[in-house]
Amino acid sequence: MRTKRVTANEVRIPDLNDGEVVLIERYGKPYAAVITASELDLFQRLLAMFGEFQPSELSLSDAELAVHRRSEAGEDIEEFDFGLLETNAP
Amino acid sequence: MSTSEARGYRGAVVWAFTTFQPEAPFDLVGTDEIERSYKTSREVAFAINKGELPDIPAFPVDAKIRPVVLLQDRPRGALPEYAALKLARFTKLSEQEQQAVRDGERPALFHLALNKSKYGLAQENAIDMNSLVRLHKSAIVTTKPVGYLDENEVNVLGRRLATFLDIDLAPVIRAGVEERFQALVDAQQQAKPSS
Repeated sequence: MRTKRVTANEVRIPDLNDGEVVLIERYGKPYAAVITASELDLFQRLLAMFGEFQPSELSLSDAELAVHRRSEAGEDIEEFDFGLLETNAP
Repeated sequence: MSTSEARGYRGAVVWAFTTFQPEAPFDLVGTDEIERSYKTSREVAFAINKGELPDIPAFPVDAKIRPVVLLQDRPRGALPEYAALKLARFTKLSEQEQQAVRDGERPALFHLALNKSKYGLAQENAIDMNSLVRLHKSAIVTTKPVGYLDENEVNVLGRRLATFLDIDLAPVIRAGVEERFQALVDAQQQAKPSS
């Protein structure tokens, strides 16, 4: 399942207790649901065990993708210490 | 016996030349020594078929020395290539996202804290789980590993890699659970006194 992350100050989250689901309705029909992070963790584990197989790419966050893209472009990488050529000789 | 000989290369941190993936458009030198640009890989294949390009055209690629973690040992030396994952820094992320990486909340980035005596690196890094590469041993610059992941980290890395390679382990785990369950049932039935 693709996960979109938003910070808490970007949205208004209803109060939520453990084991509780807040069902958001639109035009009298369920539209979305809010669950706690631990319930989400359980749901994802159950999905992994019993649900259809999901390509891992769907689960990547924007931050993970950003680091990957920079790294593949050769950016934000630790620079080689050429002194190692002396100290790490075969 | 040196440390690397004792521990092998599984989980070793080394510096190696890693190449960037060739991407279209491809600027390739033809059999007539003239360089041409090909917009797609299909155009390259057509050019090979026409004899405009050699059967094995040379793709010019850049390479950079960077830290990687090796995933395999080659005790016989029969296979000169190693599977490896690239290490990346994550300094351009927001402070909040950097902390999430450190807290293990970004599973595609396996955090390596700054620990020079363990990992041999001067800075904090993360292993990019989506960066699997195949390295020839001759591309490894520091033939003696500069550091190592510990056994637990290597195991976690392996399980996580299976996930990011989309290898579905659930059927294998399920079969193992069923087999074990059946063995327990069989053992209980055998132990039951006959009436």
